Amino acid sequence: MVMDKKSVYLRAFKEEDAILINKWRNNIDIMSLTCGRFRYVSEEMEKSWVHSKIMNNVQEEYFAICLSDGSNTMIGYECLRNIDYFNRSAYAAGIVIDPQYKSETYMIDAFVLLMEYAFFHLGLNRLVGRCLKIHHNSRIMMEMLGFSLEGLERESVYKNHQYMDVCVYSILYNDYINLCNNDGYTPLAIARRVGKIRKQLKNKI
Amino acid sequence: MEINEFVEKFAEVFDDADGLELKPDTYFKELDKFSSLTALSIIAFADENFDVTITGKDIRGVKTVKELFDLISNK
Repeated sequence: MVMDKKSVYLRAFKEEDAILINKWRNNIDIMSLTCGRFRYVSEEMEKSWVHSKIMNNVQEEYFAICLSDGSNTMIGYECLRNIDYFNRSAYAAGIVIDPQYKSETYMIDAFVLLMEYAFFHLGLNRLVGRCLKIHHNSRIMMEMLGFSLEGLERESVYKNHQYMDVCVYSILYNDYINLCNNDGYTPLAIARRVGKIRKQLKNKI
Repeated sequence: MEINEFVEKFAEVFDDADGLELKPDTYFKELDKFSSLTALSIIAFADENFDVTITGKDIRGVKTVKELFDLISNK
């Protein structure tokens, strides 16, 4: 399945994606921004991992993020994990973007597409997102996309020789629809929320 | 607004402006502090301060602070 919108589109993994994914996973600078643990992963293990994601997409779905400028260049990946079809919830996780594309708004477009897929195609009611408390940009991104802060997991991730707090966010279907109905996901609407959230974050946890 | 005032105000789009020395000829997208959120902040900055709507594509098309100033001024 291919979903197309704005500057990027999402598609399912292909076997050959393992090469790029392995490059990113072994980049300590990229992985230091995520809640996941850094570890060196061999190409063989990566190929096996990608293959397993291609063949199993019930409880988790991984997507390659590709430029929709005609080049179809894969610039990152993201996923929905712990998809719970009974409670209709999932964990929006693992967004990774190649550093050379970090200054563009590709990550934001990719996340908007992920939410659209989760709510409109999977019929979910709740999405959860987590990010390191020290990673301000991730926190701003969660809030500008309509996620609400639920709480703080104290010292729940060990990274860079220290325990780090993790912020837990969620967005419900109704929150998402309300924003959609009020043109809340246009670039200007998102941009307007950014400045406001930046100021608010300084006074938060 | 003159370019010098613009440059001064423009610093506010960066999360941490400490040590940031912006000039009209600064290639602002090449700064370490520039991110996708900065790009959005520029859109908000133009909207709030100049009542002008610019897009990500517009930002992609400029390199220096002066070029951004010209873009916004001519909208």
